Amino acid sequence: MISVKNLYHDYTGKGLYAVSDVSFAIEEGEIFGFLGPSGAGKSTVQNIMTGLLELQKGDVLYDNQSIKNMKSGFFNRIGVSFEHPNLYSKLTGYENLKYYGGLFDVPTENPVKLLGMVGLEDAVNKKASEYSKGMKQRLVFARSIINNPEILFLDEPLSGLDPSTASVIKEIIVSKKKAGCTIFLTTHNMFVADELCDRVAFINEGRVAAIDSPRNLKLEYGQKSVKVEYKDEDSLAGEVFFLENEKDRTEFNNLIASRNILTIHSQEATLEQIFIKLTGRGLA
Amino acid sequence: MLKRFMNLFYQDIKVVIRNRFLTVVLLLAFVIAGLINFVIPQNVKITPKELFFDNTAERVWEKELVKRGMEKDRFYYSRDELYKAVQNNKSSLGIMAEGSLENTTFTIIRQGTEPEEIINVLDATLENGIREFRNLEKAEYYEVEFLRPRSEPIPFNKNLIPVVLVFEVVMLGFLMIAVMIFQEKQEGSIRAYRVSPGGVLEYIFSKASVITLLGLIYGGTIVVLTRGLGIDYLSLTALIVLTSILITLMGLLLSVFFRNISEFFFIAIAIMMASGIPIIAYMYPSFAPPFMTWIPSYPVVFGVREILFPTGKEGFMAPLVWILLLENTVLFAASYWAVQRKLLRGGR
Repeated sequence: MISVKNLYHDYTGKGLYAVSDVSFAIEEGEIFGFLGPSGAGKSTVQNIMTGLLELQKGDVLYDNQSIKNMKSGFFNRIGVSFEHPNLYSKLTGYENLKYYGGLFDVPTENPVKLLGMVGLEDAVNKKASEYSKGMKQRLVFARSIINNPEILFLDEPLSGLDPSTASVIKEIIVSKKKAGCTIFLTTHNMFVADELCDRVAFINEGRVAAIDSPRNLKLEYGQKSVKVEYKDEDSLAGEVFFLENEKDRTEFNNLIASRNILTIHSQEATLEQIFIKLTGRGLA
Repeated sequence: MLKRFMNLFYQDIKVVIRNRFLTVVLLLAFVIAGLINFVIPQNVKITPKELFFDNTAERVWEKELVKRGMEKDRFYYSRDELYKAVQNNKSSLGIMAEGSLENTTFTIIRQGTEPEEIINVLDATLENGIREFRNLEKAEYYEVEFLRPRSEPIPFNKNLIPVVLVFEVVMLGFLMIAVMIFQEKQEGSIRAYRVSPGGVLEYIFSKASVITLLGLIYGGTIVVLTRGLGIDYLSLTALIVLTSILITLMGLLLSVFFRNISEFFFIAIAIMMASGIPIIAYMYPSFAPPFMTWIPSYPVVFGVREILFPTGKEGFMAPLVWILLLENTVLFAASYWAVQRKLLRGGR
């Protein structure tokens, strides 16, 4: 289990905290989403958890052992996929994986197999500098799982990917979870979080605003609504009604009775709507 | 650790080859060896070129000097011609001989910028020439003794080998390690290394080994092409290896404190210029103020010269190796701290 306890981080040294009193726990084998807009403190927390940033105040515990006391062997257990592709541009995709794999003391995956898994089988011997942004993103993701990590840190892993490639990566993430891997997923994409995460934490201005499963958050903070499309003279019109609201319910009934209804869809609140409700700002 | 070191070493070798560092080093080595062997002369006259007007009867001085091998085009046939020639050639001076053989008067026409030492040497040469010419006995005012059996004088072109060897190794090593570090910073690949089990030691050793290998390829190529195989390659290798490691550690130590190569540029120029100061002492051995001898490249360049052109000097290698080992130890400790604190853990 991973426990993050009362984490603070100040880049300036003037008491201006980028992250303030952040606490949460991640169960083994769970996909934990860290959801927030740019600059909210997501990457700062992830960087402290992976040892990239020094621990200033608070603690991060892996199976009750503080990250402060972790030796280099700890890095055999984790994999990190960075938001911004950071590769050796002069080396090929294969070489990037081969040499990175050579740093670990644990058995590593075959680079060619990994490249095939992320759809880069045709670019094995191509230099990373010749990769597109999406290809680089996939190579960074492949690198993060080369040591079969127990804990996987993914920072915007689907950013810049087309829907079909994103779907392949999502499948790999789910398969890793099924194999027992604990996954910390940092994103501002509510759909990705909703689809993949067992639980999500909303972070805004360096503080955690809410933590729960997407379903529970929707039940707790969301409002059920119905979207109706109808014919208004020659044009198509649509309206959303919150049926828990009496006025909306009356209007909905009147509309059904008086108009030529084309479609009716029930819909639940999105994570983004809940985020806005809790923090007063959007995720973009 | 050895496995990780070898892994990093192969990776760095590939990066170096793909960055064309090896091509540059080999090309430079061949160009420099070519210049030394075929372009730079074996002897260079550093004093002004003497031009003559022999106004003595039957031009006895001119005849004698031509007989001794002096080029005819250095003689002019009137005072005006000589003045004009000296005026046109700024690195020349004129000598006009007048009167008879027994009573010749020489007039020296100067540019005005020649050091007095040059004029004094010319004065002594003329005086000696006159005595010889008049079949007078040559006066011997001194005797010469040698510390060691006299060695062959080093030709001017070959005398440059230690300079190009040491200072190019220093310059290339310093720049190449900086380029490698800033490339890793810019690409962000260093961040990926930071979340791997890779440590500081193997990181430093790998970089130092790659730069040292380049230094050996560069130095070896130049020395084989200019001096052949008959020198003490073991000692030469030891000096190149220790110097390359030293400069790599210095480059590492400094480059981690800068964000990009533009910020690093000025300090790099300063360090390279400081490292090059001992060239002055190498070219003008009488000028070696104490501060100059403290620059690490100073003893190395003279050590390399002794290896390439032995004068029989004994026991110079051991103290030199000890000094370099001590400097390497100090710089290793400093660069280890800097790489760990600024580059690999909790850095920028």
